[in-house]
Amino acid sequence: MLLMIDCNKSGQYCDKAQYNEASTKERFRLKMHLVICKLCKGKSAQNTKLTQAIKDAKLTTMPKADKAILKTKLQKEIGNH
Amino acid sequence: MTNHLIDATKWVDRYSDYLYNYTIVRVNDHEVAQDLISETFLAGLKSAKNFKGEASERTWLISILKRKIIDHYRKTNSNKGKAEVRMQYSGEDSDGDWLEERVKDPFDKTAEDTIENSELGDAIYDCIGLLPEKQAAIFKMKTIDNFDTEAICNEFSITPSNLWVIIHRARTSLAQCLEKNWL
Repeated sequence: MLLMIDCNKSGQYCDKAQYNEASTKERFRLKMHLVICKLCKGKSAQNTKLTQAIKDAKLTTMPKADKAILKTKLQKEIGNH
Repeated sequence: MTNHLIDATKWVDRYSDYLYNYTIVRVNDHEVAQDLISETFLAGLKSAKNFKGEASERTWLISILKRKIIDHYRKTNSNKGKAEVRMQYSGEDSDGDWLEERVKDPFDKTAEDTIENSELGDAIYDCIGLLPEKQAAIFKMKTIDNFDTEAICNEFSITPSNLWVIIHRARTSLAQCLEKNWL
């Protein structure tokens, strides 16, 4: 059956969907699977919750250039010790 | 002792994102955050011999950073600090755009939301800290820095399906960790 996917695939598509990288076909297949699989439905909801939490927290990382500066600074200091 | 010095070379790779996120939500200024973290690392290096290994390295660094943040606010609130004229621009381009800076906050954004979100950020970063190093690096690149799948694959020389497996593992651990520590 073309429309049937297993739980493994469903998890994969669900991850892709979190980053808006699932194709229409993948999204449709995921939807169909979630209708028949309670377990994946729960996991999928949890996954979406995680995405929302990350969005709400507005996480940041230190810019790469600044990391490099900090690294050389620290390296120099270690040399002095 | 030598152990700590060896570890210090990895501080930036291991903790800079965590410390940066922690600082930026509290001081709201990139330059200040950068300075505070730099000071924290240097102070940490100086007092490395006092590190008893009772807490994890990261907890120890955070405790130094907390002091630095408090000192920063103390300085800006001291009489001398108050006497200084400070002008804050949101970016170089907006120099003098005073009107834009005077726009009132959105009415649906409360102080509680901000506090809650910064704590949520800390909790998520705590959980990311528990992931294996490579997994954490890839997850952060993908989720926080929003890099293309292709760019990340090139950087780490992995295939897209490898990437999705790593992302899947990271997300599963994170969801479980957050469920335990946050919700």
